[in-house]
Amino acid sequence: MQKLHNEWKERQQRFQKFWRSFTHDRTTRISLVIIAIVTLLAVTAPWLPIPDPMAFTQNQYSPPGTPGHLLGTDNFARDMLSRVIWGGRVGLTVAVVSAGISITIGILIGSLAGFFGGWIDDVLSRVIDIFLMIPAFFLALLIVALFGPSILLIMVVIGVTTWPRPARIMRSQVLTLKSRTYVQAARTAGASSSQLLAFHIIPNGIPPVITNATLLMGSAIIVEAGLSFLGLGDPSVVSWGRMISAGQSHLRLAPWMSIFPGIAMLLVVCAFNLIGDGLNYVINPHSRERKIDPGLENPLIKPNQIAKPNKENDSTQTPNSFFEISDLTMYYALQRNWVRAVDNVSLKMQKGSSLGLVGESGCGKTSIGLSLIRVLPANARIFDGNVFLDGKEILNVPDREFQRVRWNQMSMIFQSAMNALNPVAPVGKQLIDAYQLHRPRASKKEGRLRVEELFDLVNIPQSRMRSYPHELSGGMRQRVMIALALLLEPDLIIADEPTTALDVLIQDQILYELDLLKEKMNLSLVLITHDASVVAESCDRTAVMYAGQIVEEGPSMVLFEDGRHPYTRGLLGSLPSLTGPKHELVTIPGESFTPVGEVLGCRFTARCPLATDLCRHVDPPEIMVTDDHWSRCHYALEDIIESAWAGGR
Amino acid sequence: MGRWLGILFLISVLAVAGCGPQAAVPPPEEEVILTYAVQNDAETMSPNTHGQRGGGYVVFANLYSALMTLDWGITVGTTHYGDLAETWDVDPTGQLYTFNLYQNAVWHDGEPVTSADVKYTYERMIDRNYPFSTFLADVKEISTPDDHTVVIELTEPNVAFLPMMAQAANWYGKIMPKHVWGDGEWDEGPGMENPIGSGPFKFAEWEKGSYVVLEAFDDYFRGRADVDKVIVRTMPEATIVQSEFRAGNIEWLPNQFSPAFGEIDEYRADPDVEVVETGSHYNYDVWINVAHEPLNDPRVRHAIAYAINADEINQLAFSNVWIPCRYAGLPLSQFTNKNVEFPAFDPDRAEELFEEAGLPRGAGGWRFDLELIEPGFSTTTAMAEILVEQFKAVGINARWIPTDHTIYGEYLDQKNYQMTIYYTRYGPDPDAYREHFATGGPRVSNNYSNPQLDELAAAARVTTDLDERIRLYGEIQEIIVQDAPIVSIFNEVKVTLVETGWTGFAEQESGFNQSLGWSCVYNVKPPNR
Amino acid sequence: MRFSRYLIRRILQLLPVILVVIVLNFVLLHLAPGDAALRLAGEDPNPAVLEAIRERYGLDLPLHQQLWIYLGRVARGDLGESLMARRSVIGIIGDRAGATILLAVTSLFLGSTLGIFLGTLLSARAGSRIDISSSVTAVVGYSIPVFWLGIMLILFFSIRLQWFPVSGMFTILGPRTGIPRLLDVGHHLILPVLTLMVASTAQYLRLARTSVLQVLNEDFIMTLKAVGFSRRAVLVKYALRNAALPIVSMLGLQLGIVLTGAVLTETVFSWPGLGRLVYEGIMNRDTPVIMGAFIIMSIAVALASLLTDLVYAALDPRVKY
Repeated sequence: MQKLHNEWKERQQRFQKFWRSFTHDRTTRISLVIIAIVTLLAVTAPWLPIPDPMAFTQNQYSPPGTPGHLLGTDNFARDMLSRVIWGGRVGLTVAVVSAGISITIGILIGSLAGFFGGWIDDVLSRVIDIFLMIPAFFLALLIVALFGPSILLIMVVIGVTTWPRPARIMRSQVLTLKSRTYVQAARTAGASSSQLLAFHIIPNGIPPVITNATLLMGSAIIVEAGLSFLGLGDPSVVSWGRMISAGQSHLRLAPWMSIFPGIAMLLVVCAFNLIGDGLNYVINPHSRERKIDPGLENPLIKPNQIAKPNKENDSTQTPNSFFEISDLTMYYALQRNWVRAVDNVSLKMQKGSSLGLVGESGCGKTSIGLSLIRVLPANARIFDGNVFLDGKEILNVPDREFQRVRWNQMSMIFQSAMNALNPVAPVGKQLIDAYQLHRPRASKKEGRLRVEELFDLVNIPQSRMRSYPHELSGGMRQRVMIALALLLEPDLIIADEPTTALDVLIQDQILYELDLLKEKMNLSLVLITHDASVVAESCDRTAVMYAGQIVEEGPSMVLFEDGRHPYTRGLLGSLPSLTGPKHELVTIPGESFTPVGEVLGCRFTARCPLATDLCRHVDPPEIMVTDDHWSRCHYALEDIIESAWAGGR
Repeated sequence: MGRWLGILFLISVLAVAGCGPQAAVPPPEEEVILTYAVQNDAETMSPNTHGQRGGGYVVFANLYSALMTLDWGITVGTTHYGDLAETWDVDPTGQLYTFNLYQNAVWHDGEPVTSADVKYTYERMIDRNYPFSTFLADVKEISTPDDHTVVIELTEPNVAFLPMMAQAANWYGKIMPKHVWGDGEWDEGPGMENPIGSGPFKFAEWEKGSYVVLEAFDDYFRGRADVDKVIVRTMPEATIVQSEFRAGNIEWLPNQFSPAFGEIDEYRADPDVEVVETGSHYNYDVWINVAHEPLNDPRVRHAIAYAINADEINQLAFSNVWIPCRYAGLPLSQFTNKNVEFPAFDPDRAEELFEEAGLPRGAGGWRFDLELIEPGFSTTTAMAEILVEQFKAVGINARWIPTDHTIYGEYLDQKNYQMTIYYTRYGPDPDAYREHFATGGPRVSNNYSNPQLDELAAAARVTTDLDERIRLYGEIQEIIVQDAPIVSIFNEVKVTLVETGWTGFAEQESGFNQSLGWSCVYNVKPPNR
Repeated sequence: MRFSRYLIRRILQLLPVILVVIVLNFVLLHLAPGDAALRLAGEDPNPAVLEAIRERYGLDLPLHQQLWIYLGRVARGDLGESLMARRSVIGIIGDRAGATILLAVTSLFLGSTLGIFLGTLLSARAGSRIDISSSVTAVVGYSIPVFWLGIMLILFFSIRLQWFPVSGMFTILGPRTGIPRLLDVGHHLILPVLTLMVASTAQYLRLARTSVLQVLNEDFIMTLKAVGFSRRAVLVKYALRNAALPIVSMLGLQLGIVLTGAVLTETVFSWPGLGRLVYEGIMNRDTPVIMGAFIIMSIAVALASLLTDLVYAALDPRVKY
């Protein structure tokens, strides 16, 4: 009982979440309202205080606004308002029934093909392909013309001529779904094929088909109108299509005869299409572009006017480090909130050294990297801070000036090299293009020579320059990325998860090579990663980041041996060996903290085993543990830290 | 790349837009061009092998000649008159027809038109069972005593022979040149696209799907036409044809393109447009299938007649332009028996009759179900839309089953509809009563049969005495009104729009009895001629 | 070598399509009421006339025999003769195909170009007011019934403003050859193309916008930006090319949609095209014409999809034959 209740509740929550995200868009909301109103009118039409849509009154061609005829009358003196409303009844029926037939056939054939595979799939896929090639509208035209235009036949025909598309969608859905773990589990538990299909696969594969169905609903109404125009509408029902076509011959006398049903039809078809869009966005969130809600600008200062309130380190002051970040603060606009992704971060580095920036995903470490190289997403805003490279401020300079720093002095290696390279261009060309961008006077040949040199440097055969990214192994692609970063011999490289998604052996190899290169070329390296072992291996110093803040910074060895922040200890504390299995941060229970608005107390409180009232109410200061090691924990200097995860893991 | 596409787009827009002014090339001033529209393209230029649709007939009417012809002059009394036949004569037995052809008639290639061509044409039609053979069914022999005389002998007297063949000549029955076709089939060969006729216009150009151009034939035997060029455009959409007419690109808007009846007053007020209303020998009626339960009961058919409100239909569908008609015949015809009429609108009487016939209102208030079909003309669909509601008012659960022309034809052929709106043709000869009502007649689609009527119709066909015929047909009409296998509603009125000043169109009085068919424009004259 | 084998295989795959089209149409045409012979016979035919027509056109043979004869003909590349026009169906289609190709290809070309252009522009301003309103306008664009739009355009541009001819494909008795003829046809082409391209423009706009946006969100774009390529270079040189894949793959689908629009547009504008021919064929029960036109249209759609795949393969090195 309890279980059922929970399940129901979970479902309800899931639906609420879906509904919120679905109705987030204003056009979707308006569309839903339109469909709701039309549906309501259509369903209640027989009881509404409107004349019979078929009844002849006394006044033909009464214009809109005539008493008793809000939308006027038609050539047979029938009330237009009533006809438009009754037309909605037919329109919605056509939409729902046609789309229903279409997706029912589509789901059935698509899931059979996808589920059983083999020759069944071969045959059904061929059938789907064949029917996709037959012009559907003409087939509909033929059938309706041959067998007589009854609305029922029209609906069936629209359904029967449009099923291949949902079938195709369903097939690919089933293909993906059937290998999912839960389906496999159900299969091992003894579920039959039909049970698997009916309870596990089809219900989960249906959402994109539903999206397709809303689009079909719109087009079904249009097809009915098209058939009506060609004289193939069912005269025994009041449909918008037939009203528009009939209105064409009375355009001069009574334009409202085709205008009102036209508007009604346009609204409903648009609404169906927009709802389809809305559903699509929810199902494929990627297609929803990041943007800043216009109403959100208020609490923030525009990106360019960066305020400098009471800073001791004024930007004019020349820093003594080679590379320094000071007070970097950055926000993301997420739905209705500004999230502080990077909060007053300051870091320093000496030339030729390496710094590891570690933290779980979403902690803001990547945002720092992106801020440095200026490729922030559209919804990000840098609020404050300075960055100095080789004695020069580079954060608050115009793009054009920064272009001289970019790649020449500072470059970046991105995570997931598979996607970081253009899939449709040979890798060599991509590098040469980049070279020529920064060395506009260099010939193509010079570019090629430089790239060949780099390929040698990172151990890729030169012949691979002509290869496309997908033709290279993961390690090879990562080496290309490294070569790209080294292209213009920069002083500083920011490497964002350079080894993620590679297997352990290659990972070590790449890190090793990177280390060698760093030594050889006297590079400074910022290594951003969630993987503690990577940092341990290759960084002189380590900064641990949590919820937008650096919570502890110091020499890597010290942090690994004796972290003075409970989070550090949880993150880095017990690496069994450098080559052994990785310890992921997920082992720290609880969800990551999202800094929104004013924050009181330590951000780690909720997950911290040592949290006290002090932690909950007072923001911990930076506590210097030694000269080059500090921690943002009230208890950084206390022994109790060492017991942080003693019992748990 | 973006710039490249942008430029390309700009160029194409400019290229397309730039050509505006040049496009309207004015025709040479002195040339008289007449343009009008047909709904469907002609299928071939060979007229006789099968029934065509509008496009073909309209072209053939100008390209070819028939032996005898007929036009809307029928509404003022003239049925048939000669086309190629200058004079004709029927012998007293009513079986021997002698036609004297115009001596100066020539084909478009210069060869003379001779009696051999007529014999060749008719014999081929009979041999191949081409559609016109229906009207030559009684022919026994065709002989040609000389080059310009044709004698046709019938197996039995038939008063309707000439009027019927004259009417059918509007569709097919065009005389074909023997020297061109010879033994070749009429639906093969170069004549399919480069036709040789003997009509007032000769073939010039056929842009398939778009238009046919005809030119006045200088050596036409009645004298050259006043119109130099005829352009027949294929235009499917009536609204657009009306637009072209208003734009002045079309001079003649025949019935099938005429605008909504509601707009007619507006056109009447327009000095540039002449609204021509032409009567016709067609009535629009309801045909009731007497083989169908419960329509087999005459009381039910009478009740249906009482349920029809012709005035309402006339107002709503035809803006009172049509003529309600309750005679079993044409309002103006001398053969119409004006003493008998179908019942006038009286819904209460209708309901009484239904009760009498044992058809009380049942579930939902319905007495019985009824399917109504119609041929799909704009006029008949409008009638159907209203009739269905009128029937519903007296408790008939009527449903309108739309059909296209082919399916409609099949319904008539199979005689398996319940009720249809039909165009009953009371001409060109009153022998039409036999066609429509005598047992097994070619236009009897409702299984109606009355032996008494059959006898009267057979007798009326063979007598040439006018008074006798009027009496016999009068009796037939009494029977029809009594049995009510049909219910008359309207006499058709054709509404044609003509650009002011043009005269001689078949629908205009200036075109009566000399138009050489419904679609021939030989007689048409431009303004100020 | 591999390519030509691929090509042959793809073309062979057309055969079942043609077979299905033929059988489907045959069965439909013969199951349905409506007899072509009645259509051909004219007014009040007597039975002998009907009989003669059926015999002449082979309509009296049993169904499977008619089908067999037809299949044999098609195998020899002969689509038979129109019942009405008594001319070869290939010839009839040839007469009409040009008009439809002109109309469809022009609309498709202009519609896709304009749509891609606008869509790309909008993707760069994603989320802005103009972007949102354009997207909604685009939805309106392909929700408008084609025939209604056509008639409205005629009323406004041809009747009111008199900028364009009301209907038809050329000025009758106008220029017959050379540049004047081209210009004449071009002038007549504008409104039908405009009518037909609104929907494709709208669809391409939305597609291009989403595709470009999607590509812009891909990681390699970030690499390009990080390396220092300008927004413009990223958009035009890289994003558009990568976004071209989904855009290109819509071509086959679009052709089907444009053909659908063509029958309505051709009706409105009295355009002597294939769509209208099919409609008239259906109304006449002219079986050979209907089947021939269906076969040709299916082949066109299939070829478009083949072309799509070839272009796709040329654009995307990941695709293999």
